Amino acid sequence: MSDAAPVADADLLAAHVAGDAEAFGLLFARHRDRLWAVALRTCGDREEAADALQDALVSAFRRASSYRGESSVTTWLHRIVVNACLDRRRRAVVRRALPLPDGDEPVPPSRALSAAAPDPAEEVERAERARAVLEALRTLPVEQRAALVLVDMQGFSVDDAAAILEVPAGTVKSRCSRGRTRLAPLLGSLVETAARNPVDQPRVPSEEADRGGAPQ
Amino acid sequence: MTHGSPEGQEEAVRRLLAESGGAEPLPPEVAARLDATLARLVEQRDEIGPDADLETETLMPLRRQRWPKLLLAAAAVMVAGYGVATVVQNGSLTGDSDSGASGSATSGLAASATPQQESNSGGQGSASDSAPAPTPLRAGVVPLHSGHLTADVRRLLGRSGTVRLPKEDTRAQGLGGFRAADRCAPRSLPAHSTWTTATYDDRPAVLVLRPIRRAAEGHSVVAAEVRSCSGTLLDSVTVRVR
Repeated sequence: MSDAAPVADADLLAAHVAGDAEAFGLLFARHRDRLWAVALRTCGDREEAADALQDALVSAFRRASSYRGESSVTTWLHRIVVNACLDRRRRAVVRRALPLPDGDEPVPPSRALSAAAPDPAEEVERAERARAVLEALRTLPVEQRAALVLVDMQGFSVDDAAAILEVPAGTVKSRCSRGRTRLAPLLGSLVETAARNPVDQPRVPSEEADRGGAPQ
Repeated sequence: MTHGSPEGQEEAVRRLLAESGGAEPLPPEVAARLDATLARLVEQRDEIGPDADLETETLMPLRRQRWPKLLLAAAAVMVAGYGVATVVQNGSLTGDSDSGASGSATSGLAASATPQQESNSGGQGSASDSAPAPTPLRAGVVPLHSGHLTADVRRLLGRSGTVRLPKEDTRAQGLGGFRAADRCAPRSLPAHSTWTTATYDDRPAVLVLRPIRRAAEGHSVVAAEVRSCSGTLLDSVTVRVR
């Protein structure tokens, strides 16, 4: 992102619809790491996430003129990505009777964890925790997983997550709560440790910091 | 709220999730794939205009090919012949082990990375007429289904990456006289890719296969895209090949 030329997301999208060949690429590049993070954690599989993100790219490119400005562009883009993931997971359910492809491997822990951890031992511990969390997350129904990814992992407000998932805010809260409840026994000792040591941990940076206006 | 209470446990889970969340840099290979997809989308739109419905692109004539594009296409043909054979393991994506019809499949792969210039060109693309004719993987029509696309592609590729094309699907070819090999071919292909005619949920389609090297993991990955005859992306999967 360049502070020198802060073009709003909505303006880039409008430019794309008007025929600007560069605008959509700039818009997508601006958000693609976070879109990738959402796709990766919602799909739970790296190859599946790549496919979903590509689906979303194509869909957003072609349906840009359908954007009405009722939510932020970020919300709109995340909605398309999450829907692409949900579509793929639902289709995967249909073929669940077939052998899983070799590519259905666990998602490695977030590399973002390494940025603020100077102690290698602590870094390893964090990575192991993250790996366990992501493994457990994969066992949840995809709707619960998507809600937790958006709210707890990506820092969206409940209202924004509701807009992305196109469900009422109460549904998001319910899915998050049920998802956390299901995760607790799966994470066992990690939860016990975290519950005994309620240190102040930084919240995930909110997506509301995006340029492009306040989410609805 | 005690740490053993349900509320305490839920809060602990929330913190663990937050710790595991945040940004995730897009891997270079995925970024490259998205960039290529975006370039194709932009190119398609350039050809038919920003206000046109991309779904109707088959109704529009292809823009006249320019010489730089021709050169790139020719280079892609040469690179594809090498790239496909090396990126996919052990010379894979080659011959049809089931039919025993042999070697022609290999040449089909190598020659396939050229855009379709058939009925859509309408005769206006004289420069492109000199480009190598697009050659599908084989003349058969591969039946694909949305419910088990990954399995279909895996069956096609085989566990070792060797193409196992089924015998011609007479049911698919009998659909209202449809002959996909005659009518359906990709308008453009990314480098290193190949294609074959197919049906997708019993509708005419094209299957585009593109190998992606994943040397660090000791195997290759093939990206498979199912496109309509008009080039619209219908489905896509990635399949690992050992």
